[in-house]
Amino acid sequence: MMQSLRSRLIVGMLVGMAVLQVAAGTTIYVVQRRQLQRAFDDALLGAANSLTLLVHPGPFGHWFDTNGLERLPVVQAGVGILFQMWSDQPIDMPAPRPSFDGGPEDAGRLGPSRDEDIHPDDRPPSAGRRPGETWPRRVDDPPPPSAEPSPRGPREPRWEPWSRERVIRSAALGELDLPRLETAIGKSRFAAITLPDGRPGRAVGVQFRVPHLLPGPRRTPPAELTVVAAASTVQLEQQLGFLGMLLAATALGTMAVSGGVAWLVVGRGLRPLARVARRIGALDETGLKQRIDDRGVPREIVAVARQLNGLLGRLDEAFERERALTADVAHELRTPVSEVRTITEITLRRQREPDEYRAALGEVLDAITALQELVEKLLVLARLEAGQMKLELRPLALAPRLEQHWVRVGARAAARGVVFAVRDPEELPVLADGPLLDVVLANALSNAATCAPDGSRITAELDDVGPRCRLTIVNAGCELSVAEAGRVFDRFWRADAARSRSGLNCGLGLTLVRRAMEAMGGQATARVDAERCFVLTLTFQRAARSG
Amino acid sequence: MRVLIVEDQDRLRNWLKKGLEEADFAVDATGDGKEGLWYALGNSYDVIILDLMVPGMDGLSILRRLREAGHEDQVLILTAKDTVPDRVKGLDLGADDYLVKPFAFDELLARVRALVRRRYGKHSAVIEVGDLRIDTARRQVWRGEQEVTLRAMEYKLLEYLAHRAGETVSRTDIWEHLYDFRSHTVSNVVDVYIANLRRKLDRPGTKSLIQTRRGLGYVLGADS
Repeated sequence: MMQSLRSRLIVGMLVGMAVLQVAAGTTIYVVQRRQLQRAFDDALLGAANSLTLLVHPGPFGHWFDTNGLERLPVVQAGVGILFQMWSDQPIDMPAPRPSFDGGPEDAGRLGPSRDEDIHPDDRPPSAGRRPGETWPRRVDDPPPPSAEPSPRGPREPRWEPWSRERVIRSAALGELDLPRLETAIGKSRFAAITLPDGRPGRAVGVQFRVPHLLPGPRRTPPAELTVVAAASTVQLEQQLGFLGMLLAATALGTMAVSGGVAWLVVGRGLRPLARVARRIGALDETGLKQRIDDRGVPREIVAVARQLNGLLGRLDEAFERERALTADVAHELRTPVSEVRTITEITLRRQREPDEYRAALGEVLDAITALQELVEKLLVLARLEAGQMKLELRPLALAPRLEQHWVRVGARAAARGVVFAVRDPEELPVLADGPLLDVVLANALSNAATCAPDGSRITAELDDVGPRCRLTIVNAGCELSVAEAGRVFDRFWRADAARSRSGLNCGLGLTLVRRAMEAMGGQATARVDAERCFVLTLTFQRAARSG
Repeated sequence: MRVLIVEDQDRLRNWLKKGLEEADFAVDATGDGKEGLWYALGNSYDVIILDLMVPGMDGLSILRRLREAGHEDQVLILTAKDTVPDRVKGLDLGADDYLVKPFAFDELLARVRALVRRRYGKHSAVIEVGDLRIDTARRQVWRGEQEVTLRAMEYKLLEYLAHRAGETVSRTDIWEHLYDFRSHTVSNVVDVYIANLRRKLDRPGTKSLIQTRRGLGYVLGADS
């Protein structure tokens, strides 16, 4: 679907970048969130711990330092800390200074107590306090109107009214409760909660014990308290949300910019490809000799250009071979044709005796026969190479066929005193197609007979090599070099530019032998031995011996 | 006129020789390249018909060696190789003509005759010496308005002398150009043919067309 290399590269790159961006962004976000939460929790815990310090043991019971509240750093910092404290025994609590009223920072202030119905007489005897004592502290300001006047009546200095509470709340809580997060003494426990006003928040609960101050019969038993400090996480979530948006925006922006840059860069980078394509396009069908100029082409494309040049080279060679073959075929066909024509023309130039005509026709017939043989060889070769020959492989005996063919093709050689001998001691049958085997043997023997010098000996020996049978035909009179021996199978190849003497042996015979052998699942090889004999080796598939 | 054929196809060679002989050429023929070169170097042929692919030595090598040895014989390459590069190569190596197989024998004959003319610097197929006129294409001879009938050997001798009109032609030259290797003739046969030609061509009371240069040879039309 996506055919453009440029699009592929860019989409691939963008996808990769997106994955990276998401991973990096998520990591940053998570780490940042954790750090912010930890800082938040630390602040919360700090506030809770500070609150624990506000409960003091006194000689007549524990009391809560209401006015110390305003000195707490968290209160001073104006962080909206809510808290609630539970105690297992009533805590004395002086009324807060009225100056705390109002203002947004009053979250940390004490709220109205539900235990206001506790009778002032329930207050510890410490209420009988001595003047000049710093504890409980003196309140210079007039008590709030709601505050109950001291039962002992107003005095100078006037002591603020005390209350004894089991639950202490920050003013912002009003009558509402924070969840009571129980934990062990000295431990803290965090929880995400919904604040009484419905906002999301976090809370920490700390449990602590305030020991008695003095030994003796009136000693105060240690008090066990739980303090829960909570704060809204709305701001934290806003910060985190902003961070997330920032990261996402950065990622999107980066990708958009990189996509644009990549589009330009990739386009520029791919330009040489188009250049090479133009160069390839400039090659025409006659241009197999041409090569693509790979100068100034990037390394990656040079490989393509070189491979293409290699392909062109191989195609060119193949075409050259075909051209050469066509020329060779034409040449070989022309020779007998020109013979027929010349003989006929010269014969017809004048009135002749019947014997002369007869002789001329005989020679024309010879030439036509040669032509026919050549055409048939070409035809068989063409069929073999096109794989159109239907073969029927049967077990066949070689020796009798060799003898028969020698009678046919070796007659002239025999007249020159050439002797042919077959050695087949085991009478090995080979797996071959009858007609094709005849082609092989006729051409192999014809070649040997043509080359063998007068009075020499041609031997054909059949032996057994494992699953195969090997027929070795050896004839003397080889004028080939060792290196040239392998080329005898090339079509129309000759040892020198000069033609072989025989009209029949036109350079196709051994080609045909090899192709036919290959078609029958065998092979043909040739070599020149130390005594300058030509050795043609035909390897056949071995047939199972019948009986 | 004497022709050498170097052609390895036995049938073709034999029939070419037969055809050229019937056209009154003296013909030597061989199917071996080295033998062909040896013939060509050792004799003075008017035309050499050369096949390119012959065993022993290929046609182009024969041609090169021949030209290196300074032989100016007219060479006609007769081959089945018909590509332009083949032709160009042959002609550039000093061949005078190029004929591709299969060919019409009449064309071969005409080309050989043309090469013979060129060998002796003639352009026309009709040679005129005084009032003697020889049509080499039709093989007819006229003296003035009267046609003269000659036998084959007489005609060959006259044509050769006419090609070299005005030059002294030695008996050896005549011998070399009119007879092939297989000819077994007696030494005075040339004198006999010269006498026959004088009898048939000369008019009574006039100077003979063919003059004898004693010890050197014969001249046709020395005074004209």
